Amino acid sequence: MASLTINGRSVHADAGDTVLIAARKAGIPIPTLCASPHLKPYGGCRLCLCHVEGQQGLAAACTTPVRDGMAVRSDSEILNRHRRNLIELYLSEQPERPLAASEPLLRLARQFGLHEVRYREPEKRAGAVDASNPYFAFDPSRCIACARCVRVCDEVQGTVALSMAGRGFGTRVIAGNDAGFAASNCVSCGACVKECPTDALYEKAVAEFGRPDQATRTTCTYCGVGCQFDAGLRAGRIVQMLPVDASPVNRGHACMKGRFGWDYLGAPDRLTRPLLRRGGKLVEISWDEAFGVMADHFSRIRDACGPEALAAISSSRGTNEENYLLSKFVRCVFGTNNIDNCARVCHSATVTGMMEVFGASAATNSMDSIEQANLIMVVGANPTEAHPVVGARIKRAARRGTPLIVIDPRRIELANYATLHLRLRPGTNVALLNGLGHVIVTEKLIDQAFIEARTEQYDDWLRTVLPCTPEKTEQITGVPADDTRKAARLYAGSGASMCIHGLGVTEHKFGSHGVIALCNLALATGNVGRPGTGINPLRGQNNVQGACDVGSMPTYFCGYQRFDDPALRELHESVTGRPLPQKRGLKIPDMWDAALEGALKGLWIIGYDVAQTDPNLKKVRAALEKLQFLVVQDLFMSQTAKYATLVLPGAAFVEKDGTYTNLERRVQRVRKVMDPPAGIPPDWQVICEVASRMGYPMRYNHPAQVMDEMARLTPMMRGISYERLEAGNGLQWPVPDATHPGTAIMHQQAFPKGRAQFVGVDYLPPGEEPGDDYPFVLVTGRILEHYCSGAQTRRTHIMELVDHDALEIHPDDARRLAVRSGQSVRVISSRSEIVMPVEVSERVAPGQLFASFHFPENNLNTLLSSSADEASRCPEYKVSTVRLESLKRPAVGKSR
Amino acid sequence: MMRRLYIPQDTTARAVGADRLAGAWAKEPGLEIVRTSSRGAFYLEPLVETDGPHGRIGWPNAAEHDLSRILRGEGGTPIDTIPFLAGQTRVTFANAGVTRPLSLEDYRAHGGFAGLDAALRLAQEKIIEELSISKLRGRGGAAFPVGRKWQTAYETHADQKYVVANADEGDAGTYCDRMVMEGEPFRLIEGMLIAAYAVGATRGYIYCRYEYPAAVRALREAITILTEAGYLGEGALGCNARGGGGFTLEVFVGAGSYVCGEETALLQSLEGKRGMVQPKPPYPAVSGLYGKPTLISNVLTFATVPSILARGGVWHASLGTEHSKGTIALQIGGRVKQPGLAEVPFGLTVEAAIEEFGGGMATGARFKAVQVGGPLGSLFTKAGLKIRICYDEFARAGAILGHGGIVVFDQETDMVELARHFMAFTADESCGVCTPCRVGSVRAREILDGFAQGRGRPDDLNLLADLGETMKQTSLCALGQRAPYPVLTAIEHFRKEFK
Repeated sequence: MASLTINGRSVHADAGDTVLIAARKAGIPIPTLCASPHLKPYGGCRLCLCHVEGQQGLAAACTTPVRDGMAVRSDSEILNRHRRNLIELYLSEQPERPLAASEPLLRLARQFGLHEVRYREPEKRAGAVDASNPYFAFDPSRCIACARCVRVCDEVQGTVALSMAGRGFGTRVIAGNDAGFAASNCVSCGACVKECPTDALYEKAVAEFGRPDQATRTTCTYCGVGCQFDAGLRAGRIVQMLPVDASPVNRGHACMKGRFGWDYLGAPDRLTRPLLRRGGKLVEISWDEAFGVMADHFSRIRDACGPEALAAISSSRGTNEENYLLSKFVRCVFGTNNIDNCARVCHSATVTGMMEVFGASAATNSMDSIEQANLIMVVGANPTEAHPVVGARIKRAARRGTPLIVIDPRRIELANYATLHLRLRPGTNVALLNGLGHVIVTEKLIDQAFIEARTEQYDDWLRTVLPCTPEKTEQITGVPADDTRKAARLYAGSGASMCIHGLGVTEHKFGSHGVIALCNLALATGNVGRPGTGINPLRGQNNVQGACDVGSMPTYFCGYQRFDDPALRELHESVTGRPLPQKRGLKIPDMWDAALEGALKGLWIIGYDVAQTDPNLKKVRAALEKLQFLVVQDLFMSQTAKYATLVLPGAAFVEKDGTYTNLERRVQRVRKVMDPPAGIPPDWQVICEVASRMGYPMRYNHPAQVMDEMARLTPMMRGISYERLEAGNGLQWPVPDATHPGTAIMHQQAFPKGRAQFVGVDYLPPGEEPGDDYPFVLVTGRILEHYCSGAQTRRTHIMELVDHDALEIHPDDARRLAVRSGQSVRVISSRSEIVMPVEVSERVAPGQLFASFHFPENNLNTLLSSSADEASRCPEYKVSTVRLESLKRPAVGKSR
Repeated sequence: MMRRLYIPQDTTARAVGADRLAGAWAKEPGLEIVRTSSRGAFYLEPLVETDGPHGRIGWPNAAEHDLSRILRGEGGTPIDTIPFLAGQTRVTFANAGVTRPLSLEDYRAHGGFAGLDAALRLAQEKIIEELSISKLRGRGGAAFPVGRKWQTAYETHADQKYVVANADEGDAGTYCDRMVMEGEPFRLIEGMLIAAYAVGATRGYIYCRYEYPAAVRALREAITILTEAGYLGEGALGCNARGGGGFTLEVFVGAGSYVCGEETALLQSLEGKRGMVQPKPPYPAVSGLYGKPTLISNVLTFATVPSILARGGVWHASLGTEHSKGTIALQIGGRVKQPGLAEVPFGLTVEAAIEEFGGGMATGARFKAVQVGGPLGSLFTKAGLKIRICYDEFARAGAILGHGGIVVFDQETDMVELARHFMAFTADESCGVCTPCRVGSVRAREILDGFAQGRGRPDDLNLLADLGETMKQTSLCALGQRAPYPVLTAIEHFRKEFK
């Protein structure tokens, strides 16, 4: 702490603060253009100059650290004269057109009494407007060379797409190699636009429709990070989504999708009216009629065939309240546990694996641990594309010097920053992780005290890792034995190692074993329950954590409670008036089997395009066709909706209230910013209405009441209420009571079941291995520009940047097949064949292929098998074997 | 008997024909030609010397046909009788013109490594104390107390520290760093070694300007020699107090930017980035190259250190004025009779420097003005010449000593064009980080363009003064802060010419 005076006012500041920061904290305005709370001091604009008592000359507030007893004066005639002169210099280089001068500069000119520019015929800034990015433009004539855009691209986003070129008066901002934003490596995160103090960088939507005149804070839906945005409205229309500085989740940062990719909301093909299949065609009906149809059909099937003939699939893009209500509907109205959500195909293996070892299934730590860790190990995750705000944070840590281990078959962007990149063969995670365990044990790197005090069944793990020498590991995984040794030493020896994993761990035939193997390593080295450690799954969809938390699962009730818990049964009955079904329900893949067998007859799917995104699509589609009654609720006419008896339009995230739970267990508010089109009711109201018509009245005035009910039923959410969520930055569960501040780091003192349990897992090969007929291993995954099924992003201007999926192939393989980037190939598996364009890239190893899955026309998932993790039924998206045949086709569209 | 001739191989001597002489005389039988450094009396170059009974005999401005005369001993001047040299107090340049630049033997024979030897017998704190006692201030222009800088770098704990020599000697008319690097590179390196030992640095760089190819060659050769001799390299001399890591030194060649002589821009450039000025604090001694404590000083500063350690801080503090201790290497040029380097204790007047060492005005030239301290230095007229060359008096006059450059202008000089030229220089060399320098220098140059083209208005001078004050007070580094001085002093003294 330091005490100083600014303009005679006594001010307290933290040691290390600059005078500018101290002044800002005290609410004392000091003019500045180049300073930003997100960036290191630059000292360029010189507007913040101050007098410091006892010091010769003037000091820039932005670069002067506070000292105890310092006396600062930030306003004086002399200072204002210099400020006037500096603003005059800025204006002197702006274009002649009076309205073209930057508005913020003109405001400053007025503030400091500058009425005219005294220079005659001064040289002006030159350069044409670059409007090549779909969402923002750059007018170099309004630039003041403060480099905030360049600095934020470097310091915060870590992409370094922008740089300053030239020097002196010729200093200017360039993107990439000076061929414009679109041709550069810009990732359109929008940070530069937000930093620009003079509107030289501006959003096209704001320029077209005007600055927002009101803003509503809400949560982004484009991944599990849960970035906070202020949705800016002008005349009832969203014109801007601005990332929130005060949010601990994104700290003012964003990615392309969240920042700009909301233009799908007004897409012309949004569904607005319920559609009923009549005579093979979908015809518009009223909502009242739709509710009646649903009640009739579901009741008929339930009464004729029993509860088990009905099921629902909830959306992990929906709110916690909607997920809870749909599962309540299934349990209380259908009378079954046949409720699942899209987590089944992504992190169900994490749920299973972490539950088994730790007794809780969620990230053990917060994303703040990225800054606290002494080492970060990223396993089977590509955060710079799929979780870009977290990805940027990891990059920042790595660039600051935090050692980084990347375990991934592909050379993802983070691999470029990695101390070690362990490039294992797809499907061999368990072998590699056990190899790491072997080194940790044999080199005595284990944390004996932690193992003794906090765990059990250590020997079970020991037995499985002891035979896994680095050399044997190399044979299976292809990772050099020495790299395995180095990685094990780094992970075990850092003092605080944080593990972050993704679908490259879970989406395997033995995905839950991969998760367990990771958890074992954390236990063996004591890397759980402290800052900068833990096992941290990057949840894919925005509310995949919450959907599982609130019981949209066939295996657990809300809060991962067991159905057979007598206390829960009693509580459930007293709260809902209905018994809690005791039999475990169908998981999504089981639903397809049941439908094909004729046992499952009625299905309600909300916001999940199974007919595009599940594996072995031929089978899924056949199952959908077999159903008697299928209700699909979505924003758009999805592939799945084409099979529906009844299609219901859905309300988008900005059109309803609720909560999402992010990948660090943080429950955050989603707020209604605008009305949905054509009076579409939010999902929760639809559920209530159908339930009521089926004889089980559900009445809530607001999602807040649903939250209160969940809190009553769920110990880990007991302290959560909308009132508390409104007050702060969300709450991280467990929140056992109304005064509990939430839990940033789990398992600090004990695990939910007391001790954590080592579970030895042996390596078993993936479902398919390459051979003569199908020599390539195909891995599927996401790219930065598009999101999952692409239903949203394919309806945005992001399409100007990337408008198709591509198959990444190594240059050696491409040469042998004589294909070039942009040419199409036939991809053939034992299940199907498709045609898609290739992109030649060294990101993939020889013999491996990578394809994104955002465009339904490719039918990519028809290639994939139904192979899935035994315990969780998480599909093996990450390993399929295929062969390629070259086609002579012209190159297509835009891709990276 | 072999006759020995000494011919300098300094760039200035070569520019006036030293290589031509050496080449022409190389085949003469019975003649041994020794290439030495230059004495810095450039008006005498090429200055050929022979050994006399009481020291060297010199033949100034020698030509090829002078050989027989030289060999006969006709017309030579004993070096120690040349007033330009005899009047100097040569400390750092004591061996200039005497020794072979890359002869370790010569260097040792003339006192080389006495400073390092003394330093190695002292604890780190004691070395720094000696520097503090010496009251040595940085010779690059900023005149920061060297002992304090070393103390900071020493006290800042880090796994890696650096010592960097700023050899981006960019002021027009200055060359003393080049003379050290070309003429006695071992002295610079010895100073850096002492510094490295004192602060605990194991790596060092000499950031040499692109325009000094001969200096770069000499430095690289010297590094090779000292590495082989066990002075440099990992583990050499046990020279790092913490762990005996030795001292590894490299030469880095700049890319021609003046502002890279500013220490933060230099360190950026050394890291491979654009040479942009960074705000201070943090100071390089705390967080410099790659964010590590970095002792960065000008070449001459390091070259001064060995004699301080060899002869003691008290000795150094006995030279000069109250707050300006030791000697200053004046580099006198322009329209004087005797351009060259004069090493003298601080305290001499500018007038004496021009008269006693510069030898007064060149034939036919009348004094108009003198600029001290490089292109950012103030102009003085006759009335100002009594000012003593020391930091205090210059600071009081709003002037700088800079790097010791003195350029004398005669009556032919167009002061408007001169002022315009200085501001154009700043506009060209501005890094572009801060607004007063980036835009202000161009606006000022445009106004001066107007005067040069006869379009000036009286109001423009007020505008220039107002802008100049803002540049002085608000610029990020000395480039922008000092740029108005030559212009404003030109206007002050020669207002009539600005119309």
